[in-house]
Order: sequence, then C-alpha cells, then structure tokens
Amino acid sequence: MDESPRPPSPSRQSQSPPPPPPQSHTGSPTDFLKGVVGKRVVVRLTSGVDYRGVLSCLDGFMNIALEQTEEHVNGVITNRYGDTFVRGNNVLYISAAEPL
Amino acid sequence: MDPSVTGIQEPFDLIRLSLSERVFVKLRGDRELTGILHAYDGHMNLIMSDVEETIMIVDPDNIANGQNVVNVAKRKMDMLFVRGDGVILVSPPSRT
Amino acid sequence: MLIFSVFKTLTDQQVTVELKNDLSITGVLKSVDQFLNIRLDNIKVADENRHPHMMAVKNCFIRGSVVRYVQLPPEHVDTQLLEDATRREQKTVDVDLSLYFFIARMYIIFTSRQMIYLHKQLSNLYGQVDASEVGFLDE
Repeated sequence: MDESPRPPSPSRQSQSPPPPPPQSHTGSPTDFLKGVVGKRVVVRLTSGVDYRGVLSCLDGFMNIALEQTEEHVNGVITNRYGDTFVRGNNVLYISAAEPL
Repeated sequence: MDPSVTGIQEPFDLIRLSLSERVFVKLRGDRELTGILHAYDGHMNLIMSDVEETIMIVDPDNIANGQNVVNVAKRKMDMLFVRGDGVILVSPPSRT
Repeated sequence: MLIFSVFKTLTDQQVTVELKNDLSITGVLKSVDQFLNIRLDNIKVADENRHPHMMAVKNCFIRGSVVRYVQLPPEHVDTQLLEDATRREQKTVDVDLSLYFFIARMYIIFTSRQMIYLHKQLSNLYGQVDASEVGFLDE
C-alpha cells in the first residue's frame, strides 16, 4: 500500500512552502455563501425544482432573494421572474453557476 | 456583499418593497396566488386582497399516457390570510 | 405578532378557514392565540356531503399549523394600517438585530483584547507561558 504511486505533490517538488490554496476551495459554508452573493447560482428546492438567477442576498434561514430568475422543472424553463423571494425551508442546496 | 446595487440587504427587503403591490405567490400543493400584498411577517404569513388562486390538478391517467395535461382550477377571494409554512416563493411585480 | 393582532381585531366576525386537508369551515371567530390556533362558533362546513361527520359539530378549535388559508371579511381589514404596521414591525426587527450584532461584535473585540493583554502580562511576569503551567487543568 505504501509503495503505490502517488501524483507528485507540490511539497515534494520543492522545499519551499507550498503556495496558499485558492480561497474558493477552502473555508466554511458561510464563506461560500458570502462568496456567491452577486453571482449566478442554481437554487434547488426539495421538490426538485431549480431556480437559476443572480443571488441578491440571503439570510440565516436560507431565505433567498434572486434576480433574473428562471424556473426550471426537469431541465425545461417553466417561468421567468424579475425578482424572487424563496422561503428558506424549501431550499435543498445553492450551487455556484459561475467561477467564484 | 454589495447592497448598493439593488438597495436590498436581506431577502425580506424584497417583500417589503412589494407591499401594496400585486405579487405572485407559489405555494405547496401545486397552488399559485396573485393578489395585492398588505401584510407579512417573519414566517411569511401573508395577508392579501383581490386574490386569484390557481390550483394545478394533474390527472394521474394522463401521466401514465406520458402526456402532460394539467387541469387548472381558479377561484377568487376578497381578503385572504395565507399561512407562511405553505409558501415556496414570492415574486414582486417586475420593476423596470 | 402583527398577524396575531389582526386576528384579534377580527374576533366575533365571520371567517372561512381552509385546512391543509381541503376542509373548509365557516364560522364566527371566537378567539385566537399567538400560534394562530383558532376557535370558531356556529360552524358550517363547505361541501357537507363529503364530510357528513362534521354536520353535528357546532364549534371547534383549529390548530394553527393545519391552516392553509383564512378568508377574512374585507370590510373589517384596514389595508393601509396593515401596510404601515408591517413596515414598522420589520423596522423594529432590523433595529433589534443590528443592536444584537453590535453588542456581539463589541463583546468579541473586547474579550480578545482582554485575552491579548492578559497573555502579555503573564509573559512579562513568567516569560513564555505554557498552558500546562497555568495549572488549574491539573487539579
């Protein structure tokens, strides 16, 4: 097991300390949420419906305000709204739809 | 966060700006409402007037046929309290 | 709290409560509490043929959580008053929250300064302080 080949890691290539990893791949869920405000996101509800739009803001209950919202059901756009308020209890996840 | 763009700092601001405006509300159980919003609270309990409710009734026979036929029932109510736990989303009129 | 107040002003008025199981009950609102539990008198169920067991029931208590809608008498609802009260209530929540965050932040700043100060004092007195030397953990 110990002899199995491993991809070279930066720390083995040089003795200098590795560069700090990009911020977007570390940090807490809160850091993620702070990072996605103002970005395009996909909000999936527990019902399976997706809302795609620009995340204006959110609160501690995961209540969400979206702009330029598209409602997707089974991959098909079923509605468009200028702004939407989504009640937090319905939210399954928030996914970034553009690089952070 | 950049609240300067929209003037919205928290999601409830969106709702506050919709008071006395006609809003669209999506509810659990395939129900939708449009009506004029007069009051709400932190649970998203709502009081609306001049409400039209749309109920989507999916016929299980048609699902079996692979068709996507939904029967729609509509009704109107003058003044309505909506319990917040049924609310999925609220969409204000688009401000352009 | 606001909606509770609204219901209180509607006591002795006729309302229609629609439950999440689609049962619709019209009656006189006798009382309401903070959970929006509702007591109705002189009740009449819509579509009695479908709910014959309800025909003998004259009054009832409805748990707030099973309510979907309550249809209110529009002539007894002052919509302007509601909108103003809603804006005011949201504002007080905002003020309460910002005060809370302010206090929480001051507390963090204050205590971390205290900790740094304490550590410096201890370092001056004893050189580098090792946590184990503080001692109370060993007792």
